[in-house]
Amino acid sequence: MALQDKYKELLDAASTAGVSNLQVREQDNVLYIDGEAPTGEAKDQLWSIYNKIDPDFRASDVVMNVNVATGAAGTKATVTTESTNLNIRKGPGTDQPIVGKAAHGATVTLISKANDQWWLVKSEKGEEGYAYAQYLTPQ
Amino acid sequence: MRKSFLRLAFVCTAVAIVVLSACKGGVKDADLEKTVTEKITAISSDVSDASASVKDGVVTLNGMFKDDASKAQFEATVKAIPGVKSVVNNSTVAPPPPAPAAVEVTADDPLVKGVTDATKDFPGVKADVKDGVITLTGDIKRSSLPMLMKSLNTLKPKKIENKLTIK
Repeated sequence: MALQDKYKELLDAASTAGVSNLQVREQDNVLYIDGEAPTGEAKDQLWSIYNKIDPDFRASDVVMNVNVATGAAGTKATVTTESTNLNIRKGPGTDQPIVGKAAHGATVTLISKANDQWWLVKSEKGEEGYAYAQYLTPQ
Repeated sequence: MRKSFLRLAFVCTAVAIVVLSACKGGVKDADLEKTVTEKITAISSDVSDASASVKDGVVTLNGMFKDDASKAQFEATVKAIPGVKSVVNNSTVAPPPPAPAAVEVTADDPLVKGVTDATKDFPGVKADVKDGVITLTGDIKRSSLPMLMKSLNTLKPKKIENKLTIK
């Protein structure tokens, strides 16, 4: 339970922020936090608390798999890359050919989720393909 | 004279009835039941399907408590109510919740693929995967680190050893 004490502020914040299906498990000295955050801001807030408790994520004692809950097909998402274009690919993987690009700050439409990493989206120009979910923030 | 004797007899009988009934009951069963029910309402988060019945000062409790401690504590609370002679505690305790499922760790092959995708945009970062553990070496800007960590954390690794040099 020591890790749950160390990261109490993070776990409390997850409950307060309304993370659904929140699951907290401690196994082999790693704290596993799973769940779905209601918004991108809620997720970012959890990450900044985590970064505050464990500066630069050096302790190797947390795996926080908290994704932003995505609505049904048709949900709009903003491209939140650092500055570059987001590649839209033929399949879910960086080994897949690029079929389109969405600019930083552009809006794409969610069609479905291939997995937690790759979402099938449609760009404003109508290009359809898989984009890396980490760079998409549901609106 | 005779009339006043009758009046005295009547008053004595009335007093006797009042004294007797006071000795007998003290608190009515119905009042006790009301008190116990109020106590149940006050601890409703600790118990489900709770009910109480009272007969001749004996309280019978039913319901399912969340644990032994809350069950014992409530029995003590009821026993302490003035007028309760004894408690028949027929309530039960909820079974403990099942142990959480073991943490699922992604197998190395899909993990390597996921790590390749996640580190693609961070050219200075090198990542090795072994037995579910991702080890990061190389260098990264501090401002980019959270983005990389967020990506890697969704891959369900066993853990992430961050040995990156932060610029």
